Amino acid sequence: MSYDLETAERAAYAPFFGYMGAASAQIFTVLGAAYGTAKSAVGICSMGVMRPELIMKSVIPVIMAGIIGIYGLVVAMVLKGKVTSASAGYDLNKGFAHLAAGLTCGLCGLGAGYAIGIVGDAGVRGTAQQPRLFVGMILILIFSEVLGLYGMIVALILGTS
Amino acid sequence: MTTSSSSEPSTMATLFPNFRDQEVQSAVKNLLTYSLVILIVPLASMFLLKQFFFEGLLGVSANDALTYSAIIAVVLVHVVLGIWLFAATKQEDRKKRENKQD
Repeated sequence: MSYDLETAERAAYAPFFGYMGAASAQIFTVLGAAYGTAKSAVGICSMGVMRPELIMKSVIPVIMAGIIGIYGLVVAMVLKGKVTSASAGYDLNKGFAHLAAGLTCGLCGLGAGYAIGIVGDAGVRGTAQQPRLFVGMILILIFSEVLGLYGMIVALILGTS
Repeated sequence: MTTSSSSEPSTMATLFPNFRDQEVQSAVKNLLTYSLVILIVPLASMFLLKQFFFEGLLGVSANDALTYSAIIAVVLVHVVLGIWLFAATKQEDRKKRENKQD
C-alpha cells in the first residue's frame, strides 16, 4: 500500500483552492478598503464643516482606499481566468499557488487599507488647520498604498508562474 | 427661523448654505468629474484593452491578455491619481495668489 504522489496531486478538489484564492483576494482587500474609506470619511466630515472648499484635497485618502479595492479586483479576475476544472490539468500545485496569490494580495490590501484609514483621518484633520501638512499626508498615504501594491505584484507573480 | 414665504430660501440653499459660493461650486464640479474618471478608467481600460487590443490586435492568449491589461489598468489608475493630486495642489496655489493680490 504505497502513497501515489502523482495521483494525489491531481485531486478533484484542486480548483477549490484556486477559487478560494480569487475570493480571498477580493474579500480581504475590500475589507481593508472599506475600513479605510469609513475611517477617513470621519475625518473628512469633521473637516468639511470648516473648510468645504478643500474637498478635492481631503477626498484623496478615499481614492487611495478605492485603489486598494481595484488591486483586489484585478488579482481576482486574473486568478479566476486561470482556474480550470481538475480534469483539464489543474493540479494541487496550481491550486495552492493561486490560494497563496489571493491571500497575499488580500491580506496586504487589508493592512494597507487600515493604514490609509488612520493616516487619512489624522492627515485630513491636520490639513484643515495647517495646509503645509498636505505634502506630508500625501507622502505617508503613498507609502501605505505602496504596501498594498507590493502584495499585488507578488500575487501576480505567484498567480502567473 | 423664516416665517414669510417670500424670504424663505430654497431647499437647496438650506441644505448647502454656501452652494452658490463660486469656490465651493467649482470644487464640487471638479470632484464629480474626477470621481467619475477614476471609477471608469481602470474598469474600462481593463476590459477594452483585453478584448480589442491584446486579443484582437496582438492575438495574445486570453490568460496573458488579462494579466497585461490588469497591469496597464493599475498603471492608468495611478496616472489619474497623479493628475488628481496635481489639480488639487494647483487649485490651492491659485487661491493663495488671489488672496495675495487682494
